[in-house]
Amino acid sequence: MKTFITLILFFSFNLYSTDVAANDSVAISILDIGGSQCCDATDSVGEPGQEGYFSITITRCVTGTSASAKSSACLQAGISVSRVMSLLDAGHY
Amino acid sequence: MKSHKITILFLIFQLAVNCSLSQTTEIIYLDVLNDPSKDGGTSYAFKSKLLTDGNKSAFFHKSIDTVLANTSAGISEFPEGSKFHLRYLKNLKTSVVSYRKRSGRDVSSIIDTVSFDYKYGKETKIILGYNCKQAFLSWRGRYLEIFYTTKIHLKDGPFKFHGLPGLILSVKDPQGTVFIEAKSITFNTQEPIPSKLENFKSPISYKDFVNKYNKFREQLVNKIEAEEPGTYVNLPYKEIEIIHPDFIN
Repeated sequence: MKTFITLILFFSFNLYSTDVAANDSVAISILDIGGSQCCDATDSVGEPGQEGYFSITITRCVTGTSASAKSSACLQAGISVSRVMSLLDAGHY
Repeated sequence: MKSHKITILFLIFQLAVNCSLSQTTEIIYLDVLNDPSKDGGTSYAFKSKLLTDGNKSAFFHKSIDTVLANTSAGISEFPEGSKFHLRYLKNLKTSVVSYRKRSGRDVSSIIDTVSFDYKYGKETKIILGYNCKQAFLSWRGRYLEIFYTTKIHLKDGPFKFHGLPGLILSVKDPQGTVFIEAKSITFNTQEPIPSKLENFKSPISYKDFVNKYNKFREQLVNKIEAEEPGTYVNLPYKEIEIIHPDFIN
């Protein structure tokens, strides 16, 4: 049985300086999935509805049910999504 | 004398036709997509605007301030858009839709020659006071129920849709993933239909764009998931049309 979404947090990540990542806030949602803590981090470029709008969501799961597992999953998801935006900004894709 | 009369009648007729053709109608739609798939699902909520004269049209998006539940991220918040963004230009005579869309760092200019194999249904529905007829469409990975009115002689509709014998006022799918419904109609609006898109250069076909987007998506997803075990990447491609080589036609 999966229990979804317990919390949505918004906090700012300025991990990488990037032109592509027009929005510097990363939306985080935490999911408690059967003994693991999973965290979604979403980042986007531009405004929804614009031709250049782009969004990506990265889910990171960490085994455990503790608060530290939750924090770790969210931190890693946030770092991963920021890394993707920096790859895009560097023109790798 | 007789030829003068014919000439004057012809000129009056031409004027009437020109006035009729240049009349622009504005339709505002509530335009919501909510695909919860972890693999490529996406969601948005727009107020969308169609400006059409029956020969050509323009379609705009403006994000609306709302929260959608049951999205791929659980709950998604959307900000109020700053303005209507011009997204699609449609030539109704040639069925060509022109637009621009991001694929990685680049924003591609795309020319999509669309065709729709509508199946007619039996139900009717009143939308904004207009009696609407039912049609169904299986198109690019979505199965859609459409309602259109023959009371408005514009063979147009939201997004890329057009070609039914009347104006399309509603496009939905049975799962509730796609929801587009007209909220207002204004006849003889003074707003001109834009004739071109900004930075529309070196256009590619829809098929080429889909292949380009799919390559970009697979490369990025595979790289991140391989380098960071326990990480799952959702890069949206399941929009109103599913942007994948399996669903080009």
